[in-house]
Amino acid sequence: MTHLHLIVVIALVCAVLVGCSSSPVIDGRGARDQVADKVDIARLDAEGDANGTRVLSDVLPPYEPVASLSGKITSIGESTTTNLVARVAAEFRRMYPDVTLQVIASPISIGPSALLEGRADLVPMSRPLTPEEVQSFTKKYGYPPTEIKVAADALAIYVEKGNSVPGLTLGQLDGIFSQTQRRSGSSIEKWGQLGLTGEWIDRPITLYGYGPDDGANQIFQQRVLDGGAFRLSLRVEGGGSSIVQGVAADPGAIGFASIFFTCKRVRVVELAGADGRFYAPTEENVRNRRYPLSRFLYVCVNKPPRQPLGGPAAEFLRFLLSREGQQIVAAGGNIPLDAATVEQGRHTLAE
Amino acid sequence: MRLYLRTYQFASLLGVWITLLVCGGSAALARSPAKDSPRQVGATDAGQPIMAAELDELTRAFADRYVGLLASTCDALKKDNPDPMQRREAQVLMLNCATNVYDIASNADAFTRMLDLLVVTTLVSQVWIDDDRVAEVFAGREELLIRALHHSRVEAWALAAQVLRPEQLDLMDYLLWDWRRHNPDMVRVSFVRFSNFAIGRGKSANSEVLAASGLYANVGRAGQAVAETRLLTERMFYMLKRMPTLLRWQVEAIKDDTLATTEVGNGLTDFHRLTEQVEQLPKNVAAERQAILTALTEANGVVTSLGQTSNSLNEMLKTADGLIARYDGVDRKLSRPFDIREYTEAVKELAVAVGKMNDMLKSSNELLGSSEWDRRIQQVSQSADERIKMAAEQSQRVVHDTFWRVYAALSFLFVMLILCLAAAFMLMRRLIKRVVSNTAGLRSEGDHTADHEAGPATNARSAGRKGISE
Repeated sequence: MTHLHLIVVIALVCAVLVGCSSSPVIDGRGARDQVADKVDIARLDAEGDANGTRVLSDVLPPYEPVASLSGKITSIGESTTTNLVARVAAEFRRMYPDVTLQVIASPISIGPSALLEGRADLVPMSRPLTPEEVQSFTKKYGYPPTEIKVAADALAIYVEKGNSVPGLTLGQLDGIFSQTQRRSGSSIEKWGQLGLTGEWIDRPITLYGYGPDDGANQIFQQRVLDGGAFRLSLRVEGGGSSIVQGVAADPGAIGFASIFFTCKRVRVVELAGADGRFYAPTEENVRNRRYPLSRFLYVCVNKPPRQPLGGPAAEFLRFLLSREGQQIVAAGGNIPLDAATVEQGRHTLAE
Repeated sequence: MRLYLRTYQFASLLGVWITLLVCGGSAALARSPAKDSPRQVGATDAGQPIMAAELDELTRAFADRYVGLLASTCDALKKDNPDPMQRREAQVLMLNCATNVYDIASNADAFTRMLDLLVVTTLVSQVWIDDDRVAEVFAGREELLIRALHHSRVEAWALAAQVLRPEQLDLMDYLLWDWRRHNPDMVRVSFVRFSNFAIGRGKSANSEVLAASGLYANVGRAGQAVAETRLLTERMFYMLKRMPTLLRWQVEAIKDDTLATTEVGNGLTDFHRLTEQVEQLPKNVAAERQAILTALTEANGVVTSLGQTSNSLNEMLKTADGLIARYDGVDRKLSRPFDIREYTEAVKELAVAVGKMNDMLKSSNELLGSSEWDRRIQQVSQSADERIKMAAEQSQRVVHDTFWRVYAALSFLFVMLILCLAAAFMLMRRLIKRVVSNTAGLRSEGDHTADHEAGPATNARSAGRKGISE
């Protein structure tokens, strides 16, 4: 019995000591430190590194939280960027529990109309707004919508891992994917036409890609097909991972999807840049735009000119354009922005 | 902590997804006007609604097709495959997927069933194709499995596209991919369900919508209980019909597991080695005989060479005699004078040589004719006999031991098989009895429902729960 008492007493003392050491610090540290604790910078750094994307945490400005924040944010937009917004929103909610954040994915054409009608505070997009969308908005409000870059991305060209095609030009891609061949002028339907030999010479090329409602499809159509039409044989898949798996399961396949979806059974093909040299969609080549199918992910907002954006939506974007926000971007597998682009975005919000 | 944070992020994404789900695809459920009208659970791209009953049929048919395709693929992977690990992996893949897909297909909620099938088919295909596990496990035979899994995934997504909108599919695709990125080491993914992604989500989104819409409000508690029991019964019958197949695959998996264990593997290696030795036995005996023959030939060679020596010595003797004769018959006038000293020396030398040769011949003759030579020959012969006998005994022992082990292993497997079948038979009988008694009880209580609605309903539900718990 005496031993039991002793053990209980020791356990209680240990519990008290542990409890004291792990209790929240409520003294001289500011809100910034407490928020930093919540955001868990070390974890995000580690995850960013683990994903092979080195975060520019030493050059990006840290997030400085406000004392209190409440309200509602509605985000309606395209799914690729909505995924990113939802990840950041999870951390944002933990910092500001009084903010209600509703994140809804929609077809890419729905977001701009939701912004136009005032149904959405944030509109995630995987491509810039089209002139028609900007025109409609300007017609109603008298000023254009504001597009904030929140992450970088690359449309990668995938082939099966056994395919040895060394690199492709945009002209060759046009010949492969397009039925109009505006850029190349010639049709490429077999791997032998791309220099492959042996059993590959007569192997037909199978195409995988996104549907017409997806931003990636529209970017590819604009930059590679020169506005031309996709071949009817393009196999449209429901998402990026479906495209990549389609390629992985078919030795004769080629497909385009975000670099986010790369996997072991596929190989990413280098593309010829503007200088004629071939570039892989690495973080560096995407940031400096040498890789020709680099793109930004955007969040569009309704901000009158020369009036700083206010409210919880502005705070959310400030968080997204901070060191912590970009670390979440990297941890999720996307490519974070460089310091200059982040600064440009913050300036746009504040001016 | 990290897991918690990831889960938190994941839950957030899931929240988005469920929001979409509730607002979109299953919104039609909430607007269902009457209890007898067909339930609409989604809309296709072309705007054609799909009814719950239709989805019911589609998901169950897909489950059967998926299992059938996977079973035939795994059978093909196992056929003529000498690698026990590959056979076991194929069996485990087939068994796990079939068990879980049947479990999903017996779910009462068609919408949840569709989501779970989507999750399982996608994750399984990601593990085997995207992560290239197929090349690691089934090197050289991967094409079959890749084709089957990818085909199933495409079919599952096509099924989901009849219920979910493109952006919902895109988000689901992202959700699954993200889950896989955060769980790269998990290879047995057929146990994962859509509900596993949610935190504290007791019911499916579809069920929540149903409850909120008050669709069953005018049916009454007894009716609900009867419906629940009917679904439970359907689920049980669905599983029971497929139980024998699953059981047979389970037994095969046990067999493959047993064969793939290290101990049995070593035993089989020993067995192969010993079998090879047994096969080598005639060759060994032939080699022994050949060695003996060679030894004897060599012995004959010695005798022959001794005979040749004897002959050459005889020649030498003849030469010596000739020499002496020459000395005897020499013309003394034409040559130098006879020197008695030379003659004496020559005779002495020849006499010594002849003596030595005679001794040698004598000893050779003695050797060949001696009992010692016979004894040596007998020793050689006996040694050869012993070696042949020993080889034969060893081979017999090897054969006996090996076959004894094989008999023991087979007996053990048969006993296990009989026990498994007996257990399954008893289980099935018990389940069928319970189901029949529950259904009968419900029918009899259902007759009283019109007069006493609440009481029988409670009993029926409790009977249903009893069935579940048991």
